[in-house]
Amino acid sequence: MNSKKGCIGNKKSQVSIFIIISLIILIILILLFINRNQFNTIFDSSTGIEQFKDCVDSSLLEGIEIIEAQGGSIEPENYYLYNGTKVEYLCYTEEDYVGCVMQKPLLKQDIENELKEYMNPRVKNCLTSFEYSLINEGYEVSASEPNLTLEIVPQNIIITISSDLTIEKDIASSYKNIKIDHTSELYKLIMIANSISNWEARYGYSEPMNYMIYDHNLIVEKKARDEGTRIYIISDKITGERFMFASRSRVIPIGGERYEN
Amino acid sequence: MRINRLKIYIILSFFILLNANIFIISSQETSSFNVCCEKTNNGAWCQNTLEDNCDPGYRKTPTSCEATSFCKLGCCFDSDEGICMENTPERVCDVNAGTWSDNPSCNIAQCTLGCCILGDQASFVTLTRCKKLSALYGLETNFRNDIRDEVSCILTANFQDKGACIYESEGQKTCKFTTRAECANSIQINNTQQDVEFFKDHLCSDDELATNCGPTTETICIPGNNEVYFKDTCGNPANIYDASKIYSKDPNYWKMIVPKSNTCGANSANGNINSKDCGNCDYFKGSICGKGDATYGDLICKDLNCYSTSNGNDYKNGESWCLLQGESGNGQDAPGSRHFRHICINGEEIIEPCADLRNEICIEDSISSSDGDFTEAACLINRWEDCINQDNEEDCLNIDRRDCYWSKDKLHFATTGGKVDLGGEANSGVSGVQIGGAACLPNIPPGIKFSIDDESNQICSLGNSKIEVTIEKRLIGGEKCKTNCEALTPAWVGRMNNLCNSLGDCGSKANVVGRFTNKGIEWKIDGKKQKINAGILNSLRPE
Repeated sequence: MNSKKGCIGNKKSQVSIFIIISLIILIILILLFINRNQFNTIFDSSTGIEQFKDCVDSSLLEGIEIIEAQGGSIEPENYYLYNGTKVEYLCYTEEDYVGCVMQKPLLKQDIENELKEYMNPRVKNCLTSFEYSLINEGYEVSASEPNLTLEIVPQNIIITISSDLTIEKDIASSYKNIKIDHTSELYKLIMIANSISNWEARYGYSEPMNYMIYDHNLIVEKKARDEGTRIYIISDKITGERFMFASRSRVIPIGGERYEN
Repeated sequence: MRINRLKIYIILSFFILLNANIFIISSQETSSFNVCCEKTNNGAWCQNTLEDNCDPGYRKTPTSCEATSFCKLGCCFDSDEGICMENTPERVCDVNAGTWSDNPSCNIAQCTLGCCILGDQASFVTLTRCKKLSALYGLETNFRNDIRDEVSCILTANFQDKGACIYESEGQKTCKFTTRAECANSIQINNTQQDVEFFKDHLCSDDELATNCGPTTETICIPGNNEVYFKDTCGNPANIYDASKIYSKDPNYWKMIVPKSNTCGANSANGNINSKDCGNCDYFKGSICGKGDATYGDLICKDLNCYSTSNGNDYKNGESWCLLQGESGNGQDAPGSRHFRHICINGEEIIEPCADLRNEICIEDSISSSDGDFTEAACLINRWEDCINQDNEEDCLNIDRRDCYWSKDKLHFATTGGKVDLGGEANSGVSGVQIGGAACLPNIPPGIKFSIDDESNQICSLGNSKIEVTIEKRLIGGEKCKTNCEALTPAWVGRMNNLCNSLGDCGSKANVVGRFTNKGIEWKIDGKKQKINAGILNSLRPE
């Protein structure tokens, strides 16, 4: 009997708990409905940051495409014109028969600097557009001059934008560092380019097959041009990225000046 | 009988084929270099060049760059990435914040290579690079400077102890299949080092280990390995996939590591390509783990060979071969043609053009083995330059020194090849190619820069020929040719044309796209231009 009473007592208390929980949920929902603007603010502000990140990311993608096609330079100086594209020499000599002189020994750092220079004004533009769009929606926005760091690491390019960004409307959100990860195999392609340049400097030759045997997702193409330049195209099969650079080393000149009859 | 001797001079001149399909290229500076420019006008660092080419904003000295302080070549060490770059000028290294050493080949302590063990893989790199890679992959640095070559390094990694690494996680006994070193160092949960126990050669699915990792019928590919592996419930690789050894059929296959050589299809000649039941792939036999239709899982040994390639043939993974445009060798290469090296790698056919203007030629050879022939090709420098200076067949055909052929077309250069006694040649005004003997000629004639007249004249004029023909005039009328009579025949013109074709893009010939011209040849008798038409050069026309 006692146990039965206990059972009934337990059921009553369970029902009470359910009612209390339901009431709490209902109150929360009503509060959220009443303060839906504030709720939207939280939602919108995070979406805004994503828009800003997308803006930076698409500029970064443009920069990477230019850099990869042009041997690591946004504006190549010493280049070979290959199918209408200016392809920078990473190792170069004007002379015949001698090994090339390394032009960009610290290629990764060089590309990081090039990309950073390319991105700086674009990040500012993205931030300005972002500010305007938020102000138009009735937000109060304050942002300091953005400071950009860019790092090329395996499988990624990481951009960190440091700016005291505050977005305010009913509640305030602030951001100090905005980090953007862009998936890219540029690091790997740069390392292969370095290795090829070393071979070119020492032997005036590099065998593309060696790289493809070690990394099955890699395609390395070598295009010999008429006056001794070799164009190397390193592609990653997975991401579809292509890094292209030129080299001129240990050139044996063409022509008949060596007929000695 | 009075005999009148008439001397007729026959001149045959050959010019560059005007309609040849030759790539127009920019002219190149041929003057000697006289200064070292720190930077040239076109942005190149440290070049020995002409003074006019130097960027005025940078230094220049009237010496070789090697003799300058700023452009001396050395080794640039990237202390961040641990990479050494050879042949780098001091100035260029400094600009990029590298560390420069006076050793262009990078034989310095920082650039000494050793074996960097990264889990179950290895890389033959510098110590700094090893530290960098280990940090990137979250591993402890394990650098072995006693290992001095790449092959030993890779073998060391392969022969590391591997097995089941047992540890506790969320109150459960779990397992990671790894190396002994990684087991001891890397198992951390919430940044806390875990107590681990390592069982060499055991799989995580071994029942006796009593972990939460059990057998499945799923399979995985492992980066750095070629085979298809079974996968356990914790995601660890087990033994090589063999459909006849799923747990219900052979529980013992899920206990200990079974060597590759004792696994299914170990002796397969084709590396178990497309096998539904066996994942014992072999990269060097043309297979690797990849997506496909298998009895269990969706991975098979994918075929990496190349089929129906550009020349219609099939090739094995890693093979390379030459592809030529039309006839090649014995001076037959058409103007505008070049050689190509094709490579079959990872199932793709990659085309590598040899240097244009036939400055490089493609050569190939086959190696015979128990698995069949294996073809390899390479683009090599065309060593045609001293062919015409060779006066005997042995020197001409010395393939260690040059790429020539010995033409027995009964023509020779006046000063070399199979020289015959020309009698009064020395004082008779004859010159160039003469009748008789043989000539050593480029096997693959070099292309000629269309834009440089001097060069084409220099080469093609070697095929000029001035020959003396002696004709006897009889007293009673009529005349009879006595010496060099064949020079009056169209056949001789044809032979001369062949010789000229071998020198370069000279004479009359169809170019690579089949366009024919006879503008590259002139035939004169006694200074009068002769007609060269049907019957003489028709045989040279393409069908």
